[in-house]
Amino acid sequence: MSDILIEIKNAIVDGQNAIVKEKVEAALKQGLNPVDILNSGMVEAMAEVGRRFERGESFIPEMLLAARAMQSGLAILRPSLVKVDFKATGKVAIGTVKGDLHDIGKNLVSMMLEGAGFEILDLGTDVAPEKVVAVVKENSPDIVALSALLTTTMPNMKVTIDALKTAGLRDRVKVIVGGAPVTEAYAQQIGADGFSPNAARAVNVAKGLIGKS
Amino acid sequence: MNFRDRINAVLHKSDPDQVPFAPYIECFPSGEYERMLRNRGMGLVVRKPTVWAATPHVPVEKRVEGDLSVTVYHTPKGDVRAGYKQHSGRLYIDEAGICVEGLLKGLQDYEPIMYMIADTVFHVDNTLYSDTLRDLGGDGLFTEYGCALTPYGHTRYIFGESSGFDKWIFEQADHPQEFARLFDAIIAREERRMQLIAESPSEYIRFGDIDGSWGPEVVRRYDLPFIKKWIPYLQSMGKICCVHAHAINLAFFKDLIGEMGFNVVEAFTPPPVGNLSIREARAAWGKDTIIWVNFPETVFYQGPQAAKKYTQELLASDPPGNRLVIGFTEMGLWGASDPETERLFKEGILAIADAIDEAGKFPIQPRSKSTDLNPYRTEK
Repeated sequence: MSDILIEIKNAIVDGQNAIVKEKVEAALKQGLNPVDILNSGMVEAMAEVGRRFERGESFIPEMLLAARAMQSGLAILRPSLVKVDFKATGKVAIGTVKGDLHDIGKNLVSMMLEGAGFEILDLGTDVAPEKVVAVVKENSPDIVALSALLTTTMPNMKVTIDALKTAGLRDRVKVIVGGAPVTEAYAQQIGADGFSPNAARAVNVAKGLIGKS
Repeated sequence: MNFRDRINAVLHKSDPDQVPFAPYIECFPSGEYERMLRNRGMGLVVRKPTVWAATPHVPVEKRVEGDLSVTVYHTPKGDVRAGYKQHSGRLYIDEAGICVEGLLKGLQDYEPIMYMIADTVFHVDNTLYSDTLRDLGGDGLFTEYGCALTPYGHTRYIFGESSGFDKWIFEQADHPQEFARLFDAIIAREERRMQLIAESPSEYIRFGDIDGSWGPEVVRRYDLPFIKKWIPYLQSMGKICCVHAHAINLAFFKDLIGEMGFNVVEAFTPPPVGNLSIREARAAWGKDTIIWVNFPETVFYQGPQAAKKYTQELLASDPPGNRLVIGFTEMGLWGASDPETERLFKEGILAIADAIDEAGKFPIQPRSKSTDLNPYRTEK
């Protein structure tokens, strides 16, 4: 890997926003392939952030700062990616379930997925099952990701999955669930396709579900 | 023993007759169900501050803007405002609304906020303590809630707690000098508050929390010096001090909590929601630390039999059970807004009471094949 890609990766891991912008611009000027900049510099950086998070070496602040730096670099890189007809890893519609206004976990998962090359449709918080159904109909995401922070809003994950079944859409989309009180057993109980205990692992779960792992 | 005798036995290093069942009072709206559980020995944990704050030179204006309740603080250094979304459902136990707009939005807000911090005057109302004790009788415990946040925790709330979390993190990275000034000002204010707490009649003091969002090194940097100064002092004044440790990744904080010197680790959420079992915690913190469990409510969705079995395993994992309390520190029945959830929660909570009756009597006998709850773990 070229030095500048290593510098991009390290700057993202360290959350150094300004340096990432500078290095991505420099990499493009040097004529590096934008897909290489994305995959070897940026996606690899977020994967490293995820590994550190899993090991308890990084926490949400470090993840947020890295994600902000990654997004700054991505904003510079995006026009070049369009020119080379870059295809996203997959499309994910993500939201916090109805009755729940918490968004830190949902946002982190969004950032990590975006950092892994997924296209994100952010549905926000307090998302009604009908809205999820409509988004799946109109946008055909590969994955619906549902978040809940409260034990008592978790049942709305099942309500949403049931709404997708009723609408005849369940087979067209994978559903992954997560959030502080959500467990693997609960995910299985409600018929979700995948579960992630944290934002870092969500990337592997999502990739696995669409055969991109 | 009535509940107060039981919980006092645990808090004062004596032996209770059984493991106390002690949820926050907000988790059980008063009525028939709560009374039935109290008749079975459940106690109520009431959290109130005996010390409250005012800013005498900052006129406060409240108004409604759409579905936002807005509070504007008029300081000589400029105005700052906070917004709370109303009618946000059963989202919080103790708040009618959720903060969606924190006070600190940009550099211009530092000076007004610093003025407010310096202007803060604390008042003492010990009648809250005596009246609550009178009302609870043998049925409950008073928790001093006047210092529920650490100085670093206070800085987060200035940005709007959940809604301002990103901003709070970015501001520390982007404007470290301004943030340091803010933090120092809060430290100076909290020193004044802590002295009053130390002099209050409250015996059981909650101080701060382990959220798990930020790591142990951040806690060491910002909060540990304050904790190391004040917790021993409070203890020297006869207080029993607890930390609200509701992080689901508590295993990463195990050593840090051991260093903090609290008497009680409250809101301890074991697997399958948290990643630290009671047995692991006990091994790290020793036999005298009181572990106050936040029952992982997710278990209720597996039905009452699973809740009962889980509670039995929980009790068996910490013999002889004289430094263990089981409670709810998150939602309890409060948020159950659909009939099925309400049924599962009510049946599950009764199953906990059954399990304590059957398996929670002191001394709990160790089991040769206790599972340590690992079968419930989500971690592989």
